[in-house]
Amino acid sequence: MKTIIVGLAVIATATVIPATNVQADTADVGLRQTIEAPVSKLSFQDRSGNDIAAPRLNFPLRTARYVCQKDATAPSTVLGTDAQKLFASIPDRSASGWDISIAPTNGVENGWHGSSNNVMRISDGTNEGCGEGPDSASKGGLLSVDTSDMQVSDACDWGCADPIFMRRGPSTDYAHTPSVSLYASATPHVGWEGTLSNIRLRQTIPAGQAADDYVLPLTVTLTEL
Amino acid sequence: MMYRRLAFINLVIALAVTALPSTALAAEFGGIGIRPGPAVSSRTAGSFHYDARPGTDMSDSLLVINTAQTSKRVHIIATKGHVTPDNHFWCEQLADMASWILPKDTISDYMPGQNSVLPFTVRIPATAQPGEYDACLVATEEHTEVSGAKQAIRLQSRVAQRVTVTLPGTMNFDYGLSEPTLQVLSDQLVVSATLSSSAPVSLSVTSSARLSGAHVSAHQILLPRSRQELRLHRITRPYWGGWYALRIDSTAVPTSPAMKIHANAMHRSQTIRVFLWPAKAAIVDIVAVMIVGVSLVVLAKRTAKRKQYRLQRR
Repeated sequence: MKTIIVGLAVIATATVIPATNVQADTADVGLRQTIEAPVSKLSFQDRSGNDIAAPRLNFPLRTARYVCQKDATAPSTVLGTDAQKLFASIPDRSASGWDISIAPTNGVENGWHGSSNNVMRISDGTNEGCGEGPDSASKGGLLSVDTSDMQVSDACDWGCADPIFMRRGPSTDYAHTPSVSLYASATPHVGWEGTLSNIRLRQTIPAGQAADDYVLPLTVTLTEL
Repeated sequence: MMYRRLAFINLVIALAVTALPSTALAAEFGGIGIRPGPAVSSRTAGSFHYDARPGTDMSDSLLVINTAQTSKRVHIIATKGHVTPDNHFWCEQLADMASWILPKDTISDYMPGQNSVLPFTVRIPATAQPGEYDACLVATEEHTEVSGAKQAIRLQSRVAQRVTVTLPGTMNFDYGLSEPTLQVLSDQLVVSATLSSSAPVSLSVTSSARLSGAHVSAHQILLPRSRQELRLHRITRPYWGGWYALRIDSTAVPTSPAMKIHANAMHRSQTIRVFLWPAKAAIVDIVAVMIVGVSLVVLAKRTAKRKQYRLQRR
């Protein structure tokens, strides 16, 4: 008998509950969601995807010498690491495409500035940045950007990893161009979201360059054309 | 016991799924973002291209949003834009177009997620000559400086929108279509060629490729006095192999209807003959047909042999 009463109670409850639910559903109908038009954005991020407040790169320490330090002997550093990713998100709306480039913030004529007011150039193409010899060494100095091992992570609508749709910038230096293109769209209306990493920057130090703590500001720009 | 284990697994999955959005959300972030504000009649929705007359003012807006999790101070400046010899457009660092493009609030603070529509005016001097003028509206994020670091590069990131102003006039220019090639990409074909222009203004280029009944077209903007690659893709590969004629047509007109050229439109065309192997499916078909053919021949020969044998026995 008890079992029957409990069973009836359960059935009664089960019958009432759906009625309540139906009422609740009809009271609050519809979902609303707004998806905003995309924006183009670029930032330096840490491993967790948070923006880095003061992104920077450190070059290995070098001793002032009376020979030019170029190629393999020149100090180099890597832009775009796990700890400091270069993240970009670009919508596919532009018929002229887009471009991510890197350039000295104060122009190619203004290179490294030392804390003791010494300068080192980044755009002297004479003798591969070594200047004309020890007498004019203070005029030397060349910063090059090597994109040959650049890694591109991709997340886009269709085939963006393919060189047909994207263009990797060639390795070059600031004696040849005031701004170095790192990555760009090769066809119109192609969007991209991802990170660029492993871009090597190499600075030729001319012979007799004064010892100092040098600083160079560089700007990475994403331009929607 | 089994149900308990299942419930536990479900709980673990549910917890993992709950924890996931923080990672997924990180991808939503990415510093300062910009896009053109609501379109005004003088330009297209997605970019800042104006047709104007000397001595006029235009009002427009740029939407700026802070997509980062931290507050940002953003500088908005207008700079000149250039095309380098290797055809890459770049924005100068310094605000030197201030006399033409005048943003209203040049420095603003943004809380996380905050956005604002920033008005600006494009003021064309009365003495400006016909032609196209390139500039950039640049949003630069202010970074904290770290003092005392040795031989360091201070990095800065910024986002820019190209701004083009075209003043009406008449011009002469040369336009070229060269080096056509065809590349096979699995079942798709990609046509490449080089477009070149001596025009002092951007050109609106419509190109198409035709191959064995398949047709594909694309539209692109060719920057002033530049060379750019033409890429036409997603052309369906012909099923059967052989020699085909590939025809590429390209027509260029100034992006601004205000600019007049002596010829009404610049049209270029190239036809090349290309050899294509059959598609994979076609090769399978050919092999299958060959197998069937050979089998039929063998069968016919055997039948004939048997017939002959029976006749000989009789």
